[in-house]
Amino acid sequence: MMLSRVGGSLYWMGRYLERGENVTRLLAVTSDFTIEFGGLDEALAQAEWNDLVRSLPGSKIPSIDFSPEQGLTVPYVNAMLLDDRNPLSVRHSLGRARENARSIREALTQEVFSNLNEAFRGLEDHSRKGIEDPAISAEVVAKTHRAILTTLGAIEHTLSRDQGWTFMKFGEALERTLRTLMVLRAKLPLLRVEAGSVDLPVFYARWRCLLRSIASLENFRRVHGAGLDPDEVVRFLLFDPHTPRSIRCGLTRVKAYLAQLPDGDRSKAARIAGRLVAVMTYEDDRILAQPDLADFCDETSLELGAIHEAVESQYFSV
Amino acid sequence: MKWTPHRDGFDEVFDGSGAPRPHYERIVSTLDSIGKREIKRREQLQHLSLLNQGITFAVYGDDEGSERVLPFDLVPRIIPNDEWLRIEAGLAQRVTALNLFLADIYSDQKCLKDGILPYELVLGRPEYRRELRGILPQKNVFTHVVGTDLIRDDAGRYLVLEDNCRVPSGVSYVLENRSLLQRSFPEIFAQYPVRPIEGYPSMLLETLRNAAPRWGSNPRCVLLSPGMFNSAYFEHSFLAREMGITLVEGRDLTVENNHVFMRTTEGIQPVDVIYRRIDDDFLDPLAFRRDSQLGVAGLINAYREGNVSIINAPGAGIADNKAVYAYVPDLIRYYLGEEASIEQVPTYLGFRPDDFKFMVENLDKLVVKTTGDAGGYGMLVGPFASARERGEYRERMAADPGNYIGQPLVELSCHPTYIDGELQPRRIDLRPFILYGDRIRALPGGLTRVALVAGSYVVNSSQGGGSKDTWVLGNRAT
Repeated sequence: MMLSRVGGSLYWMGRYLERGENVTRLLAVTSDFTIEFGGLDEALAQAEWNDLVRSLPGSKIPSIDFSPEQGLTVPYVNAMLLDDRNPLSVRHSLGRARENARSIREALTQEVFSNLNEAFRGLEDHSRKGIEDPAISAEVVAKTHRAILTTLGAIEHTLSRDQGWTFMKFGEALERTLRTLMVLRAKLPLLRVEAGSVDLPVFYARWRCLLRSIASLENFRRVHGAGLDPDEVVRFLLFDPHTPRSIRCGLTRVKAYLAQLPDGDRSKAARIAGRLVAVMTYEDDRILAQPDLADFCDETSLELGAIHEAVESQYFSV
Repeated sequence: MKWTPHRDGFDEVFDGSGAPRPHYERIVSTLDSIGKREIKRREQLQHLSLLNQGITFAVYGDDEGSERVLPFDLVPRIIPNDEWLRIEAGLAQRVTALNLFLADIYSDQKCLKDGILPYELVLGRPEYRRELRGILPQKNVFTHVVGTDLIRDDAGRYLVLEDNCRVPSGVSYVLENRSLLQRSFPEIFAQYPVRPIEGYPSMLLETLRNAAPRWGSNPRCVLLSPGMFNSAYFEHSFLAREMGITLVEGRDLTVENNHVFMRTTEGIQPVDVIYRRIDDDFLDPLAFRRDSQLGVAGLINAYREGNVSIINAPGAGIADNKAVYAYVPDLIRYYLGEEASIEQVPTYLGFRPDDFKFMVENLDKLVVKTTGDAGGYGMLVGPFASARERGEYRERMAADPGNYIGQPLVELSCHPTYIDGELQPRRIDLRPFILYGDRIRALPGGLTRVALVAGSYVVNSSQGGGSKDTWVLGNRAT
């Protein structure tokens, strides 16, 4: 049993941390891609940044002035990592996670709070001045990613597996599934269409970039090798039961956490989640046969929104 | 290290000849042997550790640093055991008398009838809650947690400066300061038998449970905080975590049929004891301030019915009113038949016409305070104020003479403090924390606050003060 307000804060803390981790990873992956292709084909690099922006709907990016010294990466890192006015920036997500943590410190451990606080303060130092140098930018992104992972490790290894844990992890699983859907929504339609027509090295780079964006490249190779067959990649990212960022895996976690909550096994949220898991488990061929996965991504995102609303009204607004 | 003894008043560390007092000798020699550069390095680590752990407080009216670290000074203040035992007994005496006084004025008011204090001084003050007359808390204890401010005059005598009987704060810094100093200067602890303090949260929880309404065998205690924008929020969350109880805000609580409940993910659940860290005024919009967003509607009725205990009890604030303060030695004599064992600062009361005239005429020699404020707010330090500040203050005093008291400026004791790589004398006070559960206990030591600005007398954290670890020496186990 816990205060509704505390449950809500832990849920949001889980979501914001996961969001911060995802955006940081997208920045790291896209920066690497830009370094690789910036000289060869700047339009291609720009297209990856456009994908990144489209995969974060609702983010506010100021009109960007590019300078040759900074390249493409630095302005995007400033906007997506450091700018607090952008509601999807990492700075914003970590700030909100920390505010949530601060308001419920008694429900956390000292390790969790200190690490989160340190991650936030590390960003804030750069936030004030902004970044100008591409080398620094890569360093700050990597450092931030490490700091977030450390915080997640502290959560994993110090927090009690009580109801608060379930709310936080439920938030994390829901946010993660949503983020994977958004990346797929932004990248898949075009990638699938162009698959037969582009230059082979570019083809590999683009699909590698997709897998890395969802932290799944190594997991995929372990199962299927480095061949990167588009159908196998899509099937893996949607239906693989083991890789932690596939849609099926995410929804299975959402369902499992919901079942642990009080009156959670047949709640409104649990019913939606149960239905989604069944679809992901048994209707893979039907989904893959769809020419455009955009509809699937949109519909599933809406269902996740409905789960959020059901949980909010059942547990957080008593 | 360069140590500068204090010349004009009492120096805690050095005697009149400039030699360290016996209980400070080993600290002085150990710090000297650690050396300047290493001390500087450790001081920087200390600061970083406070920041990373988020041990901060909010300063009102300051947009820039809305979260600030309470500056920590690395030289501990040491109190020999016999000295502490005298202080502790004096504090217990004082807290006993104040609780008898509170039980009296909320019931028969004998002390007023017997003329010990004037009626208007008690009944006319807003901190006296007339609507609570006839309602006595469990076991007649009103002030379960008291933080009494002590200072030392130029002869080294301890004096009570004020009693904080409402929501005294600072104890989290006492505990954090100790742990910080233990981590950064472990070698100095090996040299002294320092009495431990980390049991405070357990003692506090026992105190809360002891105050529970009669029936609860396993009472549910909560800590009521105004929320994370309050300056003492770190402490609220620290204490809730250390005691293992739920931190609630007003919006988490609700009152039904004169019972208090909290809103949880499994519906509403009963609450027995509320350790509140908000003022009486904000506790219940139905009873006190109607515009309060921080409190719980109906809480005072639940308290009146005896269904919930509130720590400290509502209405206790009259006991630390600065005008009542002037009468505490009389109250000790009246209720206990004893003389106050800790003396206090002579006080002029604005509501006595002669005193008021004296205060107005001698504003340049006095410290004048409003009777109801705390935290260094609303106070004038006459000797350091400009003629214009004194003039303006005089006008405010004339509008409500009874709301002011005056005291001579007491020379606070000084303690070497690490400033710019040197050990310079700075003025300090001491706030011990006293718990009133099944009996009265004081946490050994307390919060030593230090005025970091050279020459300053103001130690409040809201006004540029810092703090020190405070050691009470025990007997070394053999």
